[in-house]
Amino acid sequence: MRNPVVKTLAYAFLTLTSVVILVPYLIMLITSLKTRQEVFAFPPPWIPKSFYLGNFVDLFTKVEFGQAMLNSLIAVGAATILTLLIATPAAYAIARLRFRGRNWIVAIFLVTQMFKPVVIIVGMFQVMVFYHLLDNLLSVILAYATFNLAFSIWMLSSYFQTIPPAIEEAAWIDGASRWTAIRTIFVPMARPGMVVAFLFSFVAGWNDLVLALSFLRSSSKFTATLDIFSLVSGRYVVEWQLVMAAVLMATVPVVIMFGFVQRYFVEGFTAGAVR
Amino acid sequence: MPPRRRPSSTAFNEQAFAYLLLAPAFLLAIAVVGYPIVNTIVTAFSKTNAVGQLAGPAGLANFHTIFTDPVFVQALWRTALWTFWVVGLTTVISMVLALILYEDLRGRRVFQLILLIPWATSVTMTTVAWMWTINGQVGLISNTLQVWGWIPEPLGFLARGPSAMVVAIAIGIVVSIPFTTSVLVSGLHSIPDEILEAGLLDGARGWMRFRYLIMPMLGPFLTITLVINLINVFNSFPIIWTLTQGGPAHGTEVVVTYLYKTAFRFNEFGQAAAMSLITFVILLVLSIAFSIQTMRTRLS
Repeated sequence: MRNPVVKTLAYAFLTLTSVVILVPYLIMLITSLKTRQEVFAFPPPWIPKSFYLGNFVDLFTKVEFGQAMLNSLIAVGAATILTLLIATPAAYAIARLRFRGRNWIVAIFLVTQMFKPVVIIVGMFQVMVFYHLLDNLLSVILAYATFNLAFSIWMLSSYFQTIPPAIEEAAWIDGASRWTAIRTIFVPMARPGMVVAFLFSFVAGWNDLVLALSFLRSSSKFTATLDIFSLVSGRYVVEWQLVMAAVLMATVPVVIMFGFVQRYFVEGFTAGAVR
Repeated sequence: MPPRRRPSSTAFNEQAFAYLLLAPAFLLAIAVVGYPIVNTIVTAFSKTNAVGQLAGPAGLANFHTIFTDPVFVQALWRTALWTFWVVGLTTVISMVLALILYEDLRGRRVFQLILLIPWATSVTMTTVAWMWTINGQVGLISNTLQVWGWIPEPLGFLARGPSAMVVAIAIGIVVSIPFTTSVLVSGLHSIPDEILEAGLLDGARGWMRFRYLIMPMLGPFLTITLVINLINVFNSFPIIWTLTQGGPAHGTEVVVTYLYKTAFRFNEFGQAAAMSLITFVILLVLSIAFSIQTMRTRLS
């Protein structure tokens, strides 16, 4: 990009996009550091006078956002672990083993990828009633894990196919059982793919609103996403300083985690595209 | 050691082992997704009572009801527009961003970090942050613009259907860009340098280089982002539900918000299930059309 006009335009485009992305977060930060009076003052000050930290205290004492964060951690964490435990062997079978009906099974998993939870929410709800799992975190854990399966299996199996089978076969010849070979050679080599499956499952659960909204009833069971939704939706007066503090507290740890593993993320997403 | 032919019993074991490894995934998929799908299909052709239990067959009555409901027909049309604008603009903007980020520009890393932020934020939370940003009564931007005299009255984007829809589309684009751009950037990096260099020698620059060298190589990556975005945006619930819950006066109603309302507000589970089936058929047709298109481009 040597042309100075093109270069200027490129920077202008990047700056504009960055501003659009960042402005809500800037206003979020400002608002979370204001007292209630400052938030509702006219005209509202752009720079908080006191850099008030009380909103972050109120999150735990008044609205029990700590509980919601914990619920999210449990629900999304358990679902993600369950996804990996179930998807990894299935992906191994698809990538490595010959068996009858392989193409059918791959096709079935791909079709389920098209079902987003909201489309079959009626059936999902009836089934959770049948299993007596309403208002139980287990309902969202099972649902998140299952909806992550198709993508995780597809992604992991295309990743696994990039690992040369010869390495494993060498281990068999050295006397290792199939299982030992998987555990000591395959799993460590497949780690980047598993990191992506982990992140994908995490993002999906973290983004979910409709399942939590349909299955969880008492506020002590709410996930962070549902809790923030309930603090805003259908209220005459929204305590914006609290809501913004909550969003900030829920987002910052995830952004940091993303920063560490970003490289893997794109690699894994594209493993299926190029092979 | 001489190569050993596998005895036939090993082949049998391999098959059994494969089924064993697949069994947990299969069982969970049947229990948590398969069963609801069957349930939704049965419900769509049944009468349901006030608590959503089946109350005898209904034939095509549910489908007749929803297709004579102008709100549903409107919602279908609006879903098409919503999907078109979000996916279309996301693809165009992400493509430009990807082409910029592919170049060795200073500050590229900073921008890539900024792109992570909406990705890491739950979509509902992004929407809440935007609601507050454009809030008319006490919002910072609205009040400041008013004090400066730039706008005569507070911002009221969410008070009317069309402007609320524009806000929803904007948020939809913001949350879709990070994923799309990242995939396209890694797609660009997968193009062998020799191809672009050879093209440069032959005089392929600017638009020519993009159209005849980059686009064909980027094809599979573009298809992946299009298919994933299409399915996600078509089924997107949290943005519109958080912003307006389909209101005001059904002005931002899309199929999934109306489906949810029909089930859990109006307790018409049969009609909601019928809407699910329609949605599913549309997605199926889209996916098949896409697969055929992709195969054609691969073959030619």
